[in-house]
Amino acid sequence: MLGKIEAVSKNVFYLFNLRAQEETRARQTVAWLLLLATVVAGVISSFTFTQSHNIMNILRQAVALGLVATGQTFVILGGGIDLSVGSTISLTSCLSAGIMAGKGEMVIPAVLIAFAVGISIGLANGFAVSYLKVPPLITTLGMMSIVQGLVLLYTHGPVGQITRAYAYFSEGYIGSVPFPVIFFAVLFALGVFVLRRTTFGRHLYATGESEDIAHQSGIKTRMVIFMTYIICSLSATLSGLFLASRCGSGDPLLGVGYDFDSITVALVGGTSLAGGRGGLSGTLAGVFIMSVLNNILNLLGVFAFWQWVVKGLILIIALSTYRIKY
Amino acid sequence: MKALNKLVGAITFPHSKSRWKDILRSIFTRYGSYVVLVLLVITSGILQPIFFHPRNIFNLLLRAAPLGIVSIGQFVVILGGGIDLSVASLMATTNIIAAAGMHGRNELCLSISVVCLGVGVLVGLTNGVLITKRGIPPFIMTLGMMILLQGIRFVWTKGAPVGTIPRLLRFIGTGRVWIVPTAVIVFGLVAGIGAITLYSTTYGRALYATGGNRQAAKLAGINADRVIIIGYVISGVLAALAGLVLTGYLGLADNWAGKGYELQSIAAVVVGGASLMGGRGTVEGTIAGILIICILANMVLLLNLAVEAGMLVHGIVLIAAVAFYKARKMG
Repeated sequence: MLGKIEAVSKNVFYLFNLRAQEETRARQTVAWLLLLATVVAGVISSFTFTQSHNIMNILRQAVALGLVATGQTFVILGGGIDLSVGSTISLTSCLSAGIMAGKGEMVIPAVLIAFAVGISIGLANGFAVSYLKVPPLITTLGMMSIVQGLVLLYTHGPVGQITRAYAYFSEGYIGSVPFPVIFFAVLFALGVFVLRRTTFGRHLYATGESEDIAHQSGIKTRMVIFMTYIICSLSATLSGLFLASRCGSGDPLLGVGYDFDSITVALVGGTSLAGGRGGLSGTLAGVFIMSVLNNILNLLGVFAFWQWVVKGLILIIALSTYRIKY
Repeated sequence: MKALNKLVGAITFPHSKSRWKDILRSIFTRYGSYVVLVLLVITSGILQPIFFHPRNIFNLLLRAAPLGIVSIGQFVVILGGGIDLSVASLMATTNIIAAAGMHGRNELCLSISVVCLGVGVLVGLTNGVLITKRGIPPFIMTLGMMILLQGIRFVWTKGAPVGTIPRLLRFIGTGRVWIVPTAVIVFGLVAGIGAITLYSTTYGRALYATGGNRQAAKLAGINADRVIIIGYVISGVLAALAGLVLTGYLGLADNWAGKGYELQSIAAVVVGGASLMGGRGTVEGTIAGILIICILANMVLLLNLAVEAGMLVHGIVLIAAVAFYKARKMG
């Protein structure tokens, strides 16, 4: 009897997610403050920083990473991780550009096939993690290897050609705002809506916080985690399609670095690797911090390799300020 | 959905009504990695008898040595419940330092090697201290360290590394004593010392305890922070050592030496049966994991398969092997 009361009160407290909400808000505020500091540094360091074409550049750069990071945030919130996004980006970019091959009528089939492939990767990841119980790190590590192998089987170098119409995806404008920025904004808003206002979002935070308790509360945790991997692969697919449009063709090494970068950005944004804490708002701040920093370093003409030093330091310093019990 | 569950249940036989399945399952969980290893060796022998040729075994072991040394270090860290992503970057950094510092002169070999090991200690200390004292998740801390080292390395060399590798180091990396490659002797020593440390010393017991249940270990009087820090230092030193051996093998300076070794070492440790949560695993299992990964790579070469096919096989075997071990959770 007492056990039942305990269980119920745990669930109630937990369903309201009070502590998790407070912590999430605190972390994301810190992330945005960090972004503010970075922007101030940018404004101080260079005159060109505030010019509109530079800002448009920063926004455009941020789209590719932002798309992937959004999906990655979903996975991390559920307590997992997805290392296969980089190779997924490469594969979808190569497939879409390759199938398109400059022909206008092949654009839609190319995009559809890219999505089909992306969803399959997500299905495989989700299945292995939630049903076969393989740790996410290992699953996505293996999947990264498999997908990269598939890309290289398809092509060894840049492949395919996009059409003029498809280039609109990355080069087009709606009014004075680049189309990709609007595209990303819409998808990001959708993601935020799903996380904050849908049952799925609530269930995701619950599952990430404690899979056991969530399961006992009647949440279909397996399904929830499964979905996050599909969402992540879909976002990686979108990113790959966008990059194909940006570069004009597909490249087997296009996605290199996006796996670690998307995780970095989500974590700097306050999302916890243990799951259940953090959110998309922080991730957005993280994406901008990364883009702004890169931009500042470029504007200042800093030696390219210093960017890595800065990236590493930011990662370590930002995370050491969070200091939450993992 | 029910059908799916039934299917998965059938594959991973949770409710075994027969003794056979119980026996099979217990064999798999305790000795899974060795079973896989033996099956792999047999399959390799059948598919391509050249596999057993001494030359091939020699090459196989030679290439496995650097990965093996790193993996032992990774195993120590994972046992404590952590992870070390900075090892590959550290390997490349020692490669650069060795090449630039030794400049092809045998006399400088020992002193520069000591410097490299010192760098390993420093990196390991930084990792360990920041992880335990500042509460940074190991994944992030070592990831940041990996990127930081990468940046420092590239800035210092300006992207173009210099220096040559002295004969002595090349001998350690590629030479042999009688029929045994020197690199393998180094790996054997590391594995042996590792096994003794983990199984027969207080530190080893403390490490297993800390990894198994940190709170319980602390309450039992173990200084969990110190145990973890030492673990990362060990990983750093072994990564530096592996870097030196790899440098000897490669014979040149390369900013990207050892690329991918961090993920490979994690794969080797997990395939060898260790748990990513910590507290479970054996040195022998890790060695089996290392051999499994290297034999797979070797077979790809012997069967004249494309490199891409090798990547596919590597990924599938990794996931499949771990899926089989995890089958016990369902029972």
